[in-house]
Amino acid sequence: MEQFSLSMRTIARYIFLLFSMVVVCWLFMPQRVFFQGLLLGIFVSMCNGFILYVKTVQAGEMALNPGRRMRSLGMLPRFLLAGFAVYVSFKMPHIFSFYGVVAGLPTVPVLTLLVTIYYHISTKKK
Amino acid sequence: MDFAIALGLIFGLAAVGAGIGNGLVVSRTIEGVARQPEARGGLMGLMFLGLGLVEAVPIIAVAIGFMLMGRLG
Repeated sequence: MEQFSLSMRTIARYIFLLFSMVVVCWLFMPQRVFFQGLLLGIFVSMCNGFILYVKTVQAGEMALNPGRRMRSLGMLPRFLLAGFAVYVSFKMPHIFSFYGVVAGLPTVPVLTLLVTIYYHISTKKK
Repeated sequence: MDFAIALGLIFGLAAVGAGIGNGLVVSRTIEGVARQPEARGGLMGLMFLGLGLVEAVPIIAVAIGFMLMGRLG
């Protein structure tokens, strides 16, 4: 469990670092609409990641205590959040770039994959 | 009309695929934790990764559906 919390903390740190880098790019680069879309996509991805984290912890507790029951995996709120972000970018293309939102939505899974690969490579070397 | 049915099929089939994938990932994780409770941390990390990657596909399908709606609809 500690390993899971540690890796989640690492992923959260990298996501906040990426978010701050995008904010800096938004400030200093001329493609403001794209970066606004990217910020929206990353924010929604962070929300989705948090819901997924809570549900994963609940599933782990349920596996240890079979008496407890889990109602859902939270798939519907995550899909609705992502769909809402895409819909907003579709309806307001002058504020949020569609491609930016689509690029920002899979941020958490891609970062998780990269961190996991890096962790496995670094532990194999030792 | 046909276009709306095609969009519904895109969203629905993507959600069905993600649902099946999520179910498989969670069932295997719970099985693993029940067999070996000390490996809970690693298994939950893998479950988080698997669920995130499985759900990236329908999210992209939703985006492609909206894109098609904008271009063709």
